[in-house]
Amino acid sequence: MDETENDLEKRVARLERRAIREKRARLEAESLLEAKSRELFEVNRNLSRLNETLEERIRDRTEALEVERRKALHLAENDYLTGLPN
Amino acid sequence: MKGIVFAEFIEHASSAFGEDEIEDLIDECDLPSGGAYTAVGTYDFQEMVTLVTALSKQTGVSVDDLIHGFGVYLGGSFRDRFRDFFDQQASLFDFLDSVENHIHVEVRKLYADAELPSLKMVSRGENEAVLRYRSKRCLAQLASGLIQSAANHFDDQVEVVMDHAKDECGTFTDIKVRRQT
Repeated sequence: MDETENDLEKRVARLERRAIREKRARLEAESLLEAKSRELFEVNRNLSRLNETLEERIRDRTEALEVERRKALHLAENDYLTGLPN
Repeated sequence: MKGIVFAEFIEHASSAFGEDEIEDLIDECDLPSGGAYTAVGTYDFQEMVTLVTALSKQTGVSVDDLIHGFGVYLGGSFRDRFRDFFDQQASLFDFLDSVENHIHVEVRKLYADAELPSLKMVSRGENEAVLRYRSKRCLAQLASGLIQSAANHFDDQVEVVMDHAKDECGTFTDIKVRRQT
């Protein structure tokens, strides 16, 4: 190869600049990934909590419905005033 | 503008005009980002303008031709990265129709801040379709290149003709795609 010292220096300089660019892009991508991961974690955690709250509400509602159901059944089977079976 | 466009542009320009030349070009442009683009990042569109203008000056190729050529390259890259979008469609016109209604919708799910052009299919026949390009960025030539690349994928020979016009909503470009049978 018949490259002058100047050519080689230029080539090294270009490769150095390229390496700097690549590294900078990589660091930025990593930073974005971390931010997205954190966001994902937060969203998942909020969804879990919401899910728990909803499950609890369903349990409460089901229990309340059961109480009302028994009451309604009792009313259907027994006379209100006398307490005697219908 | 999303980093993928910048990153792919650097790749394409390096391959078309030489790595050394592009390295020097980036250096000369003195970009805020330093030319360090990650596909998942977002950068100022002005940097693209700077790069393309400088490249045009350096190579003597017109900005329109540069952007069109990049569009063809970018289309190939999209096909490699996002093969599913292509495999899901049976024909070129089906695919072109899916850009606005399916592909861009999916892009926005991942990147709510993506600024995409509107590319509605306003007419479609057996061998000719018209896509109406609307954008605050004048990149109709990029769309044209992408369409050409898509045609290559579907093994269609096409002629792409552009018509600039205006209506009450602003300026637009009607991109006529004629399949040559």
